[in-house]
Amino acid sequence: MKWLLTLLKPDARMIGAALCLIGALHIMLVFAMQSLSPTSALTRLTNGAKLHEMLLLPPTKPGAQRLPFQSPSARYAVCRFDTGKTDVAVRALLPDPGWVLALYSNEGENFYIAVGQPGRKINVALQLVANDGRFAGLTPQAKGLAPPGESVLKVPAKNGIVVLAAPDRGYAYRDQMLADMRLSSCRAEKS
Amino acid sequence: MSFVTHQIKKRVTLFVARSARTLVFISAVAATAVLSSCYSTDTGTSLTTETIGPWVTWPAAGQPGQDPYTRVHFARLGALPLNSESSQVFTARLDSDGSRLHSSCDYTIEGRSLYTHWWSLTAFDDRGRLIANPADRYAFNSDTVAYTSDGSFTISMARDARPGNWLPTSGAGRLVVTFQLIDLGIRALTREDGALEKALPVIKRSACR
Repeated sequence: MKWLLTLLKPDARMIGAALCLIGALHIMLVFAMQSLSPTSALTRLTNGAKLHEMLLLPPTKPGAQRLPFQSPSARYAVCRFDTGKTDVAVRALLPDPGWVLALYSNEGENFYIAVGQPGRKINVALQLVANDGRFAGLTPQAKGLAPPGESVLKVPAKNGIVVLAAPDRGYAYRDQMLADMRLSSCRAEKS
Repeated sequence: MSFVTHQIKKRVTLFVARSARTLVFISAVAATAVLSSCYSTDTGTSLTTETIGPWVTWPAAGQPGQDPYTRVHFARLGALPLNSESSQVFTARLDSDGSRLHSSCDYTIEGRSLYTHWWSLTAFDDRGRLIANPADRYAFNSDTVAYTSDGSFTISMARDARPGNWLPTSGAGRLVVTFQLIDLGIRALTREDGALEKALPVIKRSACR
């Protein structure tokens, strides 16, 4: 360390410049790291999934893990969505605690989440609409029709994924869990 | 002639000294910036993480508008966290006494039932991979763990089979335990009233080989 100080002969100006440079470089590196990251979690999770189609993933086991630190306590179903050309209808049943419906943007932001609650079954019906200000037609109410039973969700990202997680409560409950998972859907709708 | 040689030598020496100084300066700046950015995105700092005993969590995980350090942490990890407003994942690499978790040791994990949250506890190796075992058991959750009559539970994390809630760790080396909480919309667990500390299990080392 002494040789370094002798060689550099640091003064206040040099220390100030070093701190500014370190700060600037630190910020640039943090922002660059994200784009330099290996294959994103979304790509690996949705590998094999078609657009606007719910895909039930196999159980999370050693050697068949899609993501690091992925909990094996749940079964997962995923769907890729693209609201660029069409609206997307997402439906899911969350019958028990531990069930989760989550919507992610391609940047990995979880902008919508619904969780199962004790003592009641939650039916989630969403219509995903791109938040780009385009005219999406008259609402059913404006046309004199009954309002739809689904919530319209203006999504902050055109592309992303839907993840449905169902907790594994053991062998006795597995068939019921899979049947409830198959009730979920994700499909393109004409806007 | 000797005067000219002396002048040239002096200039060369000066040039080498200045170049070395600049090179060392640039290297020191670059190394500090690289190390600080890697540390703050891998391990996190008190600005981006919260530590409770051996458990560490990233409070902004998954949220829209999360800070760049949290975003990069999960992007580099390759994980997809749920929005931390509804779910929190706590990670432990140490036991409650501060020693590194390792598969050569046996541990007991003691916690209690939570009526406000669904939880799941999983053991991984230090790269986030599940630990293969003949029992096909990788995790316990609030539905699968066996509770005692007072609503508490004890999970044995060990290489060899144990009675009760046994989580096998054979041959994994360094271990990482995750504890995921999913909010049931009943009551938020906060640090202020100590509810969060009470909700997190205690990891005790029982023996090492």
